Amino acid sequence: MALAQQGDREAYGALMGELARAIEGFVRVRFGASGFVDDCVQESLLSIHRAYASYDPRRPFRPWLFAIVRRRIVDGLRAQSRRGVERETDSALVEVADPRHVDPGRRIDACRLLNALAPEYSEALIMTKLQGRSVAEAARSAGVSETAMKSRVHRAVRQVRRELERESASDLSRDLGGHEVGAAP
Amino acid sequence: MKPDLERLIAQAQEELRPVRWPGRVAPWLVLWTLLSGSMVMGFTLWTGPLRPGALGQLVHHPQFLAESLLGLAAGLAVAYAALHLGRPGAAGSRLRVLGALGLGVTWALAFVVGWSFPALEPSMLGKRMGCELQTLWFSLPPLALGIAILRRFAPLDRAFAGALLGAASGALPALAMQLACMYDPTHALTHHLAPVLGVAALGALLGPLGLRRI
Repeated sequence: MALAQQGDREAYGALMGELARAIEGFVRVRFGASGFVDDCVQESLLSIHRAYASYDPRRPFRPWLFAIVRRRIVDGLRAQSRRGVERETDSALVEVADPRHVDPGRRIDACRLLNALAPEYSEALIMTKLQGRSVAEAARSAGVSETAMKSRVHRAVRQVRRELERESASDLSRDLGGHEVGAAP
Repeated sequence: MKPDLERLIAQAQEELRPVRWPGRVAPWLVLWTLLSGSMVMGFTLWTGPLRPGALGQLVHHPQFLAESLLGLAAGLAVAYAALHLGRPGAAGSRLRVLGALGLGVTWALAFVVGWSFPALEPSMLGKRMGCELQTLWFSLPPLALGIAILRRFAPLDRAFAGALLGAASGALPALAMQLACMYDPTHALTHHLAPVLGVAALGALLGPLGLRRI
């Protein structure tokens, strides 16, 4: 990043490519595989590009990166319901959402963060934010009122934000494969 | 890698420009302080004289000097905290904000203490008509300058960063009024410091509009 801030486009391209893979892994581990992951990666890269001047090369890179990615994830979750976009989900996510197809081992591996939530919150988040169902549909499916479902979704997003904040930079370091991505030379 | 990501990265490479003082807050804080301070003092002197003997009071009344320095420190600390909010993941951001706001509250409390132990003998000498409006008006150029500077950074919470910038911008003319308007602790609280809250609210509104969404 320090080289990029000096105008080195080649270094910047290499960094962005490496970050794209790292962020994808980071989000996928926490939310499973879905269109949401791609959105998060794109949004995070855009944000990193808009914010590259704000990184101080004398400081560690990871907290800076993690703050941006965390923010984009939470914003992404909020935006899902505002847009009401129907998301394509892959089999891993459907398994998590539908108790009839649950494979416990895969659930834990695929969606660490979702599984850190209370079951009703996790279910609410998956149905409304990741699968793109309306609140009414999700409420019918879960057998609760729309108000209760809205409340669950709101609390779930809040809990996700807290969980992400709780995760230390070392967690991110593990997701980045232990490399000092983008650090000052 | 997916083609749309490759396009995005290629576009980003194309737009890359060298950065001056990357991620460094201090040079921008100095620039903001010098320009804003000059503008506020310029406007203050343009619209009227300082209170007679105000500069001498700074020398001969240590409590008044301490009160004024506390206001200056509070304004600068809040501006420093606001600029730091533009660096995502910066260590100690919360502490910095709390410390700066604590200084601001202490400055206000100094005037509350002044009800019993005033730094100067309260008097109407040098009273400016509409000093509270002047405090509001004079804070607008520093606020605009602060937003322009913070646009170079990446505040994740633009409303809060704007509010802090507003508070810092309001503190400068409030401090100038210490020297340019009548001295009375109650008057200082209601006519000089209270408008700072209004400027902070304005900053919270302007922040999301003027600062870049990252």
